[in-house]
Amino acid sequence: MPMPTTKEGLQRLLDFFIYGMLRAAESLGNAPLFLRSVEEEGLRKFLLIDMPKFKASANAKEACEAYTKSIDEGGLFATTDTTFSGDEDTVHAEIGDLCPYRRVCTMRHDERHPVHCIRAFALAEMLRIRLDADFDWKLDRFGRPCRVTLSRTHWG
Amino acid sequence: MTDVWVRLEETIDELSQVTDIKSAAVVRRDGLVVTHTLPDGVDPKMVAAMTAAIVGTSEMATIQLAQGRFVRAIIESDEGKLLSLGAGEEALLVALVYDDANLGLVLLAMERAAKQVEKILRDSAG
Repeated sequence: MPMPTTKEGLQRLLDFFIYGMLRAAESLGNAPLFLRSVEEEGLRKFLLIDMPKFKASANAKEACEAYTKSIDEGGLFATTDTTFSGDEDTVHAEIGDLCPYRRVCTMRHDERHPVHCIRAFALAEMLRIRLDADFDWKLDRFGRPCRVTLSRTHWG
Repeated sequence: MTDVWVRLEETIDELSQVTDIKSAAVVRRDGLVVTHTLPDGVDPKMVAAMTAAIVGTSEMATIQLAQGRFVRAIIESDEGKLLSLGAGEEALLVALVYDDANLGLVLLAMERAAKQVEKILRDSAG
């Protein structure tokens, strides 16, 4: 399969698609719906196949840790600078410079567009699929590191 | 189930009792279903996602065409109508109504239910 020849090339390819996807999602009028659906479909397809070592705990914080570890072990991207705190209902995540989406988020931040955290969408969807519970997320801070809070929805 | 969910279910059950309304649902703006009275054979997840998409696109069109605030979306078809509107910042309300429904009556009931949903969610958020 033809692939970008360098790591930088691969990153640029990712930037290209993520940036375009975010702009398209916004132009359709509901970016959260679009991005949540992208993550849901992707996870449903690949979570069981490509992450056989991922064993989710009923505890949300532990599930986020296990999922993130499996991302790293699966070779998708390095997550050693991602840390979690919290409990079964609320998870605080800190995401450092190794995040592969950081360049696009920075671009959008500089362009004064909303920052839609792909990592947070993925974690919330993973929790919904594996824990059968809805979690809302909030980007508390975009920076180095980014801070995200996921909390069990108040919808019931 | 939590008290919030029970109250939302009561609201949607009450709305579904209105003459001319076949079924109804409360969905999240990100396309997840909360509670519904949709009939068997209809996928509530699909309805929730489609409602969120319809409202999102309609709101965007309203903005782009400088038509002021989006109020509601009405989709008419041979067998009935699909009505959807916002219920606060987080939720949407959707109802499937009969083709010859009294729209004034239905919309009145939907707007009342939407306000109720908004209040329930606002109260639960503290």
